[in-house]
Amino acid sequence: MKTYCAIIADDEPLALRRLEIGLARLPDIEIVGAARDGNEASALIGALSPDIVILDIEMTGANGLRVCETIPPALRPAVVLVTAHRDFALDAFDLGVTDYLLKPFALSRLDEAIARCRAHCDRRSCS
Amino acid sequence: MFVTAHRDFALDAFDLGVTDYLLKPFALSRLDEAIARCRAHCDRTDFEPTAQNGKDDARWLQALWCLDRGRRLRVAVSDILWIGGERDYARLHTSKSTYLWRGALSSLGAGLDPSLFVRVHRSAIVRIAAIDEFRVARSGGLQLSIAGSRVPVSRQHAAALRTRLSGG
Repeated sequence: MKTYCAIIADDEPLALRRLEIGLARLPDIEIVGAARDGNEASALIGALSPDIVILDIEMTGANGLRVCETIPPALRPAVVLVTAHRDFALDAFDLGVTDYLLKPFALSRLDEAIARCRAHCDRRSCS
Repeated sequence: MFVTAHRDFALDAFDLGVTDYLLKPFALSRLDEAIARCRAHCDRTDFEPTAQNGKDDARWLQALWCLDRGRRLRVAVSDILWIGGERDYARLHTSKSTYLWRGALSSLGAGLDPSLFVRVHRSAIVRIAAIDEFRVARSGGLQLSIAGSRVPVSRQHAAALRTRLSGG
């Protein structure tokens, strides 16, 4: 079984916990880092080269969109933005993110986002 | 791809899984980018049936993420010559280097294609095709040689290994 390394970032501990619980149900997803603000997220992404990055948008430090912009192009992880606001979805498309989850989201919608991330990663590795 | 003068459908577009969303008026460079994403999407669709045809491959591990001074390195299973157990870790030996994988040897063994790998000892799994030599050591025990490394064979696993080697 292929495994995918994920980094999650949210400044709300409960939201971070919900992501951890959601991802723990998926045996091929391994959380290698959890960040509590945008700057920490950027540092973890640079250090750990994850396959998947799940970012809250409204975080202290750099916000999720800014974090996304600063990911080195060579890493090309699948990025999922998570937010309570609809208004960033257009920016998210412009940034080329893999998915956009509106809080509160159903776990089935998280599973769908992860399925898209797997497809992104598999495409990346075969290109 | 959606093309529209309205920002408000972008969230719905994500839920529908569309490849891109262009807001009118858009620059031609942005259209080019959208088309690049469409190409990548189509190439992926082409690739999927192949992956399904190779169902046997999907059952077995293709790569392992290993610890390396704070980083994680991807080690392709096809590069692994043999694996030694070290308490809670497994050491993957390739022709270039060795890598530590966090997890028990037994759980790793369950994910490896048994037509390619065989358990020879409580603390060793080897790639059958990588075995250079199989002999009785001075101690009387059995020993393998793989790319210059000596790997012990336990009495318990020796008979099964002999059968595998004579069979192929």
